[in-house]
Amino acid sequence: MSGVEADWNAITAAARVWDGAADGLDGAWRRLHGTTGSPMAPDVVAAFETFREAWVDEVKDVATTAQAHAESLDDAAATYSAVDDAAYQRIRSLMPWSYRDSTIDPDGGPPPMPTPSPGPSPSPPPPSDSAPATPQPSPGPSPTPSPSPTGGD
Amino acid sequence: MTRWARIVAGVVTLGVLSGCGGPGDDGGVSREQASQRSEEIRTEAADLFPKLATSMSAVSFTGSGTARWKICGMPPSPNGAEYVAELTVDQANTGVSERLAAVKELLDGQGWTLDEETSGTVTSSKQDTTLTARVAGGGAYLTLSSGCVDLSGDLIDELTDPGRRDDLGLTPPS
Amino acid sequence: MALVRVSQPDPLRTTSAAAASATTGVRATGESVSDAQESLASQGTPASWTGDASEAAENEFTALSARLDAASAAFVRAVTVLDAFDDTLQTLSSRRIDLVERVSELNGRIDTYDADVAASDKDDATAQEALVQRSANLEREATALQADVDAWNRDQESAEQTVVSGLQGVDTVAEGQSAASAPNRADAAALADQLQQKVDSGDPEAVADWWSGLSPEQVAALVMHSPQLVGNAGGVPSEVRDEANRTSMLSDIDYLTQRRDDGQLSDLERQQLMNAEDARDTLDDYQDRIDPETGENQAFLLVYRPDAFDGDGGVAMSLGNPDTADDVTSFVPGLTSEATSLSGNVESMDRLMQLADGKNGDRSVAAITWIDYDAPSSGEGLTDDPWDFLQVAGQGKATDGGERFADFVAGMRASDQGPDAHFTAIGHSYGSTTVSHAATDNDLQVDDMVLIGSPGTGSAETATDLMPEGHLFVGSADYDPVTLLGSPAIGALGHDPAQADFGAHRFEVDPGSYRVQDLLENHSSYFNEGSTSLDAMADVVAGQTPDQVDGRTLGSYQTLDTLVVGSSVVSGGEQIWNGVEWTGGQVADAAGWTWDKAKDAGSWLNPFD
Repeated sequence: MSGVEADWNAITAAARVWDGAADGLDGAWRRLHGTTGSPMAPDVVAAFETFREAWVDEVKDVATTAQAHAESLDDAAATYSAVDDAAYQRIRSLMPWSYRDSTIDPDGGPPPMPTPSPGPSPSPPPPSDSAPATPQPSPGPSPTPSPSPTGGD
Repeated sequence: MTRWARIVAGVVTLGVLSGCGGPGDDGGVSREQASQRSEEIRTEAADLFPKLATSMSAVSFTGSGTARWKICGMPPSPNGAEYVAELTVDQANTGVSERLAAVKELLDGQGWTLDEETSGTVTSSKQDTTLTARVAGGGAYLTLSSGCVDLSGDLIDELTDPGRRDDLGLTPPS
Repeated sequence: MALVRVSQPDPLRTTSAAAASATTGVRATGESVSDAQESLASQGTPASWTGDASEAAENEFTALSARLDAASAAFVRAVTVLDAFDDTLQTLSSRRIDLVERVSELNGRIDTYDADVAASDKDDATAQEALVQRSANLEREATALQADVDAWNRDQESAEQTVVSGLQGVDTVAEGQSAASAPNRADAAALADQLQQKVDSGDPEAVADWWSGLSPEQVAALVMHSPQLVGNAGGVPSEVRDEANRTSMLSDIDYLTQRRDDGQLSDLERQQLMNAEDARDTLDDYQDRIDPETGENQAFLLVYRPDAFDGDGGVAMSLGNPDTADDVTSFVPGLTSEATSLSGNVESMDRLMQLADGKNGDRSVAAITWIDYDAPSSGEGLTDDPWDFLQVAGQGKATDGGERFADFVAGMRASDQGPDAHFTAIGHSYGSTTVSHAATDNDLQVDDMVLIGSPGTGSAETATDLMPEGHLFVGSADYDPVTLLGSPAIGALGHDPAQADFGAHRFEVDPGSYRVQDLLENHSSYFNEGSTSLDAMADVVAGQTPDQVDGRTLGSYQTLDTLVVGSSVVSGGEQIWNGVEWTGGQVADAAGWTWDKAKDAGSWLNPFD
């Protein structure tokens, strides 16, 4: 075991990557679906529509799968304390590659919700979170930012 | 305040001092009248464009013809708007000179007055409406215009919003 | 002796515009898919990993990004064949036009022959002999021409078969996978890096040169991968910039609409979406404008940067292809309204273009509307955005804008095909100060310059600081208050180029309305239909010289303070006695009352404080 542990942050970050991809792909298959072949020559329209439908189906399938992966990870994050090793094995393939040998960090739950404190708390404060550095996910598909005057993407 | 901002403020204030309200932005033709005029143009186009297409043995159109309001003058203070119906014939089974002759003959027969003809573009008018036919290449670009109508600034903005247009629903002669 | 007429070629069953439209849809899809693919791949197995492939495939980021990669590869192939189809259609269109002319002409001569036969004297042996000879010649010609027509018909079928088989080659997932793993597959990311470097070096000729060496598949892959880079790069062919920018525009609309429906739009994104939809709607308004020879759509989106300038956006659109047109003009507006400044300006330029086209004989025209700088905006009314208005008094935005405009023109020069186009820059209002800075601070590669409604020419003191003698044209309405900011003494934005001693060629402009409430409208009168100013600008664009009128000299025009007060008096006079006829003397009495009020207010009206 490499000792890599996944915590709540890592799981939700991965979910956001899946989410972003699903959104972009959703727009993509709809765009393709709405691209008409007419008014082109009938043979060309037919070939175009066959091409179009094949890839609408495939992109839609990937979009749906990505969305499902986002939800699986979000579910795991929501029920973090109940996720045991076995449950984690099932979602580990949805995590980034660097987590392929990871286990779930038992203490890596979500940060505590802030509670209104009427007075000094009788119980000691919870231990500080010491999760390993979370690899930053890329922000997902978005319109690329405006380039500088000399261009950029 | 910058000098320019002061000038502007001064102009406005002076206007108020001397009781300037002015016809300003409420001038011109009403929405209903504008709408009527656009209806007239669409009706005329629906009649004339197919005849012109047939006269030149048109084979296909780029679309089905559209009509929309366009500004007269320039932003940010256009001085009016005109309603223009357009049709592009992209293929015809006649040569350029044959097409041009056919167009002129048809317009003449329909009571249009030829105003100008320069390098393949024929401009004709009938009352306040102008027809231009640019004959070139494989087809012709036809426009029928109401001429510039004096409308309030707000109405111009609304009517000339990009993407706002009417479909003429025309099909090539069979 | 009956001769058979030649049949016209089949109709062209697909137009360039139709093919281009379908291709754009595939490209926009491809861009979104490519973005998602990169996003997922960045969390998947790195390319450098040399372990067990099945272990890699267990990771869902790896597996799904691979599926998207197959889709991307399929889209690149599809776009490549559709683009080639579009090019072929344009050639077929030109050829068809030529054939139609020849067929009509020959059939006409056959008709004449038939008429001559019917009218001929059957007993005149010489005449009959001549007719037989004519018949033989006509038949030979008709056979040859029919063969040409038949060849065209076959060429159209062949073109259709080519694109059909191309699409059939990538219409399954397995075929996409093959395309993705093809050894000669274009490396879009690497190409994008190369292009970025060339763009950063600021040499559009180098970009044009590099671009000409790309294969069609490389072009397709690069446009799909980095449309915003390609679409805004000077030196890239205008047709390609347009394809790339439409791709970005549509995929932006797809993505941002999704986010809007999810309630997740930020302010900047909301403006981006507005800019994208505005560009799309304006393009759609010109969807029926085609090149009469090739059938290609004639609206070109040359610049598309929807989030530039804090969301105001940068955009440029041409009617007519500037790479192939003989006379090209680029217009830089000044004060603009926040919404839809693109479409109104494009409409004005359309009017100018058509007028110029009528003046320049067989030469072709392209008219560009360029709004890719941080123009001051007037918002809802004069008092909105006061900070933006204060900018009018400063030259910062004009200086920056001037550099950007000069770069844009350099890009257009680099992508220009064939002999150099005759290029005219037109600047209005603050845009004229911007164009002036483009000329004085940078190398602005234009042949003629027109400044209309100019508040000042930046740092230029005489016409030859901007253009060689005889190539600077100025239009300033005497009752346009903005043109009086720089006169008689230098103003915050520079000198008034309508002054006689500035040395420009001034053309006639209607002075405009003398009522104070109309003064600012005089500033937007230069494109009025039937106006001398519109006609003069068309002359310049067409490479002709408009009539010249005297420049401003002391005493020959009203300076700003005089104009403002005088027009207020006139308006006041009209208002107070509206609808009643009065003699000049009585008007003067009433005017006197208003004049006194004006003098009291005059101290803080003085523009030269």
